[in-house]
Amino acid sequence: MIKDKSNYSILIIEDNPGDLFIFQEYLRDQILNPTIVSAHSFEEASKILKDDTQKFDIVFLDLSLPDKKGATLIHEILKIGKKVPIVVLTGYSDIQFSIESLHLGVSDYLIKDELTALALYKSLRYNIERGKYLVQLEQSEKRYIDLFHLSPQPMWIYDIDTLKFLDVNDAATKHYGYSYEEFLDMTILEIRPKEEIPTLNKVLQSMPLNHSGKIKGFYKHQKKDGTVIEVEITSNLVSRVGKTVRIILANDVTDRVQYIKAIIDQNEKLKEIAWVQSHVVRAPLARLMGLVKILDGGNDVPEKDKNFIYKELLNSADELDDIIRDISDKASKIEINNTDYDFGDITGR
Amino acid sequence: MTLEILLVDDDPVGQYLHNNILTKCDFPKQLLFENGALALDYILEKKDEDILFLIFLDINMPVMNGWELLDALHKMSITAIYKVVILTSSIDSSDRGKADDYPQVFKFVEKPLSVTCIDAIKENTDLASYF
Repeated sequence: MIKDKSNYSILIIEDNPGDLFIFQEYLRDQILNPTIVSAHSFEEASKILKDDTQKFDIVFLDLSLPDKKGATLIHEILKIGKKVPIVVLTGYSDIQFSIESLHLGVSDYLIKDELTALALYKSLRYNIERGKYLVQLEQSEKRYIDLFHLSPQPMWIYDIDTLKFLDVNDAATKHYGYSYEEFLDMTILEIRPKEEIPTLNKVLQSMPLNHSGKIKGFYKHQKKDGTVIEVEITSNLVSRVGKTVRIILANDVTDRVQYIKAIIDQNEKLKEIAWVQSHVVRAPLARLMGLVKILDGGNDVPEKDKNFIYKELLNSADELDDIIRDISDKASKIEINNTDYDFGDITGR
Repeated sequence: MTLEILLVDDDPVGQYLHNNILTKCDFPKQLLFENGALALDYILEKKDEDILFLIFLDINMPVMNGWELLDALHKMSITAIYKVVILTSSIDSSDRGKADDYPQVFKFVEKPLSVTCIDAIKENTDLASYF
């Protein structure tokens, strides 16, 4: 017969030397070279499990040890077991409890009186593989939870019926100033300025309640310290433990909005300057050009006209000077470049 | 039908310049008005006297500006008896575009008025017979 050549590391916790001997024999029957460590009491087992140099693939556990028994024993072993699959060994008398122990976190149970080498081997392989999947599943779940909690942008989940916060991430607590506990005690209405609430209620009423409930929009929110911020909200409906909730991603665009306002403002001022250039500046200039042209006509300009022309040439020149000073004054009031807006390089230059 | 020249401009220098150059170019006597309202009153008074009014019109004026005068004249359906040359210091293209909306405006001139420009005005089909 071909034996399993894998390097299994097995801990058997069993106080009965006869049973222990049989288990070892059964294991060696199917596995070429197992590393079998045995413990005869809970105390001994806990010493072995707490020793970080030894890693086990699986633990077989007898449910009645001299120093601990039953549920307490299972709890204690699970606590120090580092997620290694635990298979409970039991007699007929304890079979009901063994079935229940699956709820406590035990991977499997085996009935001693019915045990064969093959059944033991099958249980070992099955529970080791299952354990690996469970660890992978846990890691994947953790990765998703991390995506939420470690997201650099504020995110939260709220109950679409009560509007209560169900979960918020670190970025949200940091940005809004409320602690995690404070958030969970609040509804989404409480992070808005009062005057925004009627608008929000309207939006909430018109929200689609199906899974295509994706929403994007701009809203005003209020931090704990009272600061009102402009946020871009992206949200979606998600299923969470049998309940439909809404997940929100809030992007604070206050700076960006202010920047755009500043640009619009600047644009207005530039338009005004352009208007002044084409209308106001042009008026005295046109006068100057016309007057000079008349003087250019030579001697046929009457003397009294000449006086008028010289006076008006000077007036027009003065007017032009005033206008240009005024424009320069307006241009210096365009303050956009005096404020720092940190968006990185948005000009592409 | 006789031709009357109306100079509508609030700027005395503008009036002087236009009066000067038009007279030099053999235009008949020009009547001067400081704003659109005064010109409008005059036209209304004489609208039945078989006169063709050639209006040199400034845009920016107090009381009634150039556009307002054009609107007022347009409402009166007397298009046959007046023609308009807009004379403005503006080089704003939107003003030029706006002038296109008034069919009686046949020329849009940026100040100052030049001799070449006056020659072009004289050649206008409706006016040529007067010169």
